[in-house]
Amino acid sequence: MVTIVNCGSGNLNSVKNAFEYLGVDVTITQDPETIASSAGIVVPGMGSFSQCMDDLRENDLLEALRTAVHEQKVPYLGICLGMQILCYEGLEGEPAWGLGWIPATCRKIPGVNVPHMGWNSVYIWNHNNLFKGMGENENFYFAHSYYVKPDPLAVNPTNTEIGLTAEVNHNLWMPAAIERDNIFGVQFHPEKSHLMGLRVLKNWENVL
Amino acid sequence: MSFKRIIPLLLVKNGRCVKGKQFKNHVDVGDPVSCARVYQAQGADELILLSIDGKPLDVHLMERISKEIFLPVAVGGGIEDTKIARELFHAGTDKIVVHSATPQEIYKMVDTWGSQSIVYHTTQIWSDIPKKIEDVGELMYTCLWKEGTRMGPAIDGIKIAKNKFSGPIIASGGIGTLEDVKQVIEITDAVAIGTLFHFTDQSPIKVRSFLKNEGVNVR
Repeated sequence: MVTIVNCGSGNLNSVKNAFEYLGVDVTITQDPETIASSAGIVVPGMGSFSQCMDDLRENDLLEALRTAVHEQKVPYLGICLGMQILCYEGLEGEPAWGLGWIPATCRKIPGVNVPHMGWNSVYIWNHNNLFKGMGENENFYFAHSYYVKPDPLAVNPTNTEIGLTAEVNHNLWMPAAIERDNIFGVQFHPEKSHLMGLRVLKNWENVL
Repeated sequence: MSFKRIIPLLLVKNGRCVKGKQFKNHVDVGDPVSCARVYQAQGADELILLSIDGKPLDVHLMERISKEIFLPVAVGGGIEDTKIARELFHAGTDKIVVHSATPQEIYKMVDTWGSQSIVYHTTQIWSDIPKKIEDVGELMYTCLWKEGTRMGPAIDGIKIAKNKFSGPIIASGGIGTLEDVKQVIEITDAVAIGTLFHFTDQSPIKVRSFLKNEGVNVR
């Protein structure tokens, strides 16, 4: 059973519908026990970094997530904000602590024409998992104003530290997808990216 | 840079898709779920559904659409407060389009769901736009008197919109030919098309093909 973690004001049903369309058993939950015993955890994102983290904290989910993902190695898929909260911290208004599972911070996309809204071409570097069977670049749908910025002070200040698997360009090059062991993140919305998006979800499900 | 977007625009009245001119004299043009399905198959980049019967879009209709449409869907019409917005988001909406909601309500919506989930729709680009709309993610401008007429888009109005809002702009109203689509999309980020798709044999496929040949940055 795949669990979709209900953290706040996310559009959970689109993600649920996409998995159900693919024939995957999925449930939306805020219950730590259900999360701990799931085959895969999806954290979709909508709203703000601090609000999402507050919701997880208030519902005692931080510990449940940490145990499931780090100890039991349950695969995690963060979508949009769900990928952004993997950072140490986010600077959306007040600085807020994130899950801290990747050496990166969540920053506002600089320049004009923000939010990054619409379909964009994603350059795929790693076809092992989420992007299995796809070309060198594919189009996905983005809707975000903040991005995952790899920590320049990390030991290896390149994108390999965060497990970059795909990149996208809008005002600057930024991570479109990351992968570190059982932690996966996509900045785009696979549930909104029609056929290729559905394939990303199916590929993730195959990892479980 | 993200691609420019071709967005079929569906007006919904009492559970049916309708189309008229200048938002009047509407005729039935089909079932919303079927229309959405067809547009998705024809490669639409997004969908916009505007409820024009005075009430917000029926939540159950949105749920049915959400079960098979895997494109961004924006819903508007009658969304005055966060309660209605929340119900629609839970039903599967990705963005809500606000028109007559107060600046305070709009601010609350942006605060709850993020600017990228809120589109401000105006038909009056020449008058002052409320200050708070700078916080929303996108601006949609429909030229009211050109709407449904296929007489050509309101390029002047669109240029004014660009001066008033720094984020992505969706323009609609008056598109009658493929050239019109190109004219609009060259200066905006997205074009929302109603009449051209409903009453002519143009489709997202044909529009995209034409725009690509003309060198426009579409998907």
